[in-house]
Amino acid sequence: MANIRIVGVSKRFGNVVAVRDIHLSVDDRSFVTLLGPSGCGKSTLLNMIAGLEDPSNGEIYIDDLLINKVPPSFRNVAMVFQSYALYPHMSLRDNLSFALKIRGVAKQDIESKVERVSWMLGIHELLDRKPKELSGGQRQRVALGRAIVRDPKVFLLDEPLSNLDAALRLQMRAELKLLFDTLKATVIYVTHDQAEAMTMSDKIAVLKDGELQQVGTPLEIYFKPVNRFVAGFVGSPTMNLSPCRVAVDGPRFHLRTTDFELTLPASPTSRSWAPFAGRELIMGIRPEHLALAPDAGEGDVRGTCMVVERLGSDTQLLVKTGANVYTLDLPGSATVRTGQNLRIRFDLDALYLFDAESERALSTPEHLASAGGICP
Amino acid sequence: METVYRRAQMEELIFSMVRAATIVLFAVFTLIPLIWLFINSIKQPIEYLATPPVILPSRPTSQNYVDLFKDPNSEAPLALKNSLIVTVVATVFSVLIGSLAAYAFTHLKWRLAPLLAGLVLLLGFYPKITAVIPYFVIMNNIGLRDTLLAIIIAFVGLNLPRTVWLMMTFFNDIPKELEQSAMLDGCGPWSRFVKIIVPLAAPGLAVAAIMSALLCWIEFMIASSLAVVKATTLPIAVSVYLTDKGMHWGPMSALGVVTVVPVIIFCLFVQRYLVRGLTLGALKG
Repeated sequence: MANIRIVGVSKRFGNVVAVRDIHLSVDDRSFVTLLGPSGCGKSTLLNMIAGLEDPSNGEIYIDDLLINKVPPSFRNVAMVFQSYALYPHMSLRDNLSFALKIRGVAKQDIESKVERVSWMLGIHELLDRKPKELSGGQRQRVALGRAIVRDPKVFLLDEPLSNLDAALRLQMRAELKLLFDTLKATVIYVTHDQAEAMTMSDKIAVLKDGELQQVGTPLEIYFKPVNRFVAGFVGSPTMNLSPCRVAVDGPRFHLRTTDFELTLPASPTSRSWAPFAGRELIMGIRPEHLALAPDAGEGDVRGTCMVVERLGSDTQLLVKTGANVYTLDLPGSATVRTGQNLRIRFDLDALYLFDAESERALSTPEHLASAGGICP
Repeated sequence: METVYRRAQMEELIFSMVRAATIVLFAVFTLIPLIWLFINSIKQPIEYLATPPVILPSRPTSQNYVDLFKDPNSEAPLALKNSLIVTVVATVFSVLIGSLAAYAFTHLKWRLAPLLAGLVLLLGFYPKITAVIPYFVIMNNIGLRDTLLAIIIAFVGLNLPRTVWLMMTFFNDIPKELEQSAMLDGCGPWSRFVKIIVPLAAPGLAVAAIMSALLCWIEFMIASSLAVVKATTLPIAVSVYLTDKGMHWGPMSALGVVTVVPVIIFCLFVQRYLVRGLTLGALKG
């Protein structure tokens, strides 16, 4: 296996900058996910590592060897494509053995490798079939098998689960994680699905508009987002974000939004709010940190329930408080109906504050991060 | 509700009648000349200019066909052999060169590719008669006039623009991930072309070959300028029966049938592939 170092890599297509000045290190035998919305440049970055695109600027190293000018076939990387890219005119056996044949591997070795990988992935019975005779999940396994059989230094996976239905995607997610843990492989995985990224990765690199936003463990990304974009993109349901301002009233600080005012917990038990006084901010709070007030209490926010989504294990509500709509994620089955007037209680220790202009995180709830095992 | 149903039935009936009439009209325009050609080929010599005209021969004869292949002065056997050679060789080279060029235009990163591809398309539009004299002069100067090689070179030139554009359509429809996957598997451009692209574009290659073969088989204008005696092809041999002393309807019709029948049989066999191939090129699967 291998480590990868990406140093100041950019990619331009004409006047469009697809990837801008990316710096990223991938440790040996780690599973790193490039996460971001469509068009953020994650697949372009993956293609540059594979050698399918040339960087406009910057350097890419595999095991400290500069590979910018090394052709794809000599980089010893294997790629699983979103569309699987199985050769439709070949049987699965031929698909699996194609790369080995091209590389002149002895026939006996090819046969034994194909046998081993096909048993490992549970596709042994299908070896004489053509790709069109397979289900989506089986094709996905073959695509993986084609990568594994080559025993590459690095696995590159470009949204390999996105063509599967929801149930199969969950199943394959677990299988993939188990498989790459067993192989002890270096993996770079591209997805726009934050659930996949959170559950499978050792590290996540979040991209937006071709720029790297944050690199960290899944819990770091979740609990300590560096900016509004990361906070809003990671987490399901997404973080509630609304403009606000911190007002000073003697020794107390208040958080004012267009709809309501919250009295912030006082220091020293809580964070210091003084640095944010008078600034234009964006308040962030995750849906699980909003609750329905069981009784009338000071600081509760009034709202009207617009949508109730009952998921069995939890209930998600959309509550309109005026100009803003907040998502609540309540455990169990809440007895709430659409149109009902509600009182929402904010967990003020779980507030995130972002600068309204730069959108950088100014204050994050450290106790949540610590509970998630993240050092402050 | 019932009125709507009746109206729909009436529309269905009218549509069926229009469809049937169209098919009949099409058959009349396309089949009657062929039937007329065959009838002429089995008439007695006296019946060609009879008054009133003879539609069906009183005593059908195969003498015209016998003369075509038995008469020592007949050019038909040589023309048939030449047409077969020219068609097969020109088709093979058209498809080979055309598909390689199309692959280069569509798959290789080359700044001039779109410009050259446009130029090739432009070559497909010029009136073919303008090429007759240049071909004649060039082949005459290099000593290739009245050789099969001259006709093959000219036919390949005629076929290439269409073959290139047809194959470009097919190659563009092959997902680029397949080729990228082959690149990562260790294939160079040539082995990607042979092992991945060609098998996937087989319907396109079949269509290109069929269209090329049809053009080579019936081409007259350029062939007649390059062939004198030795390199004569079937369409030229047919025209030989149009002389200043009159028309030899019998042998001309018989040779016309000999020229057309292989095309009809060929088309009946390949029409499924032809239609499938043409639509495959146009639609993403």
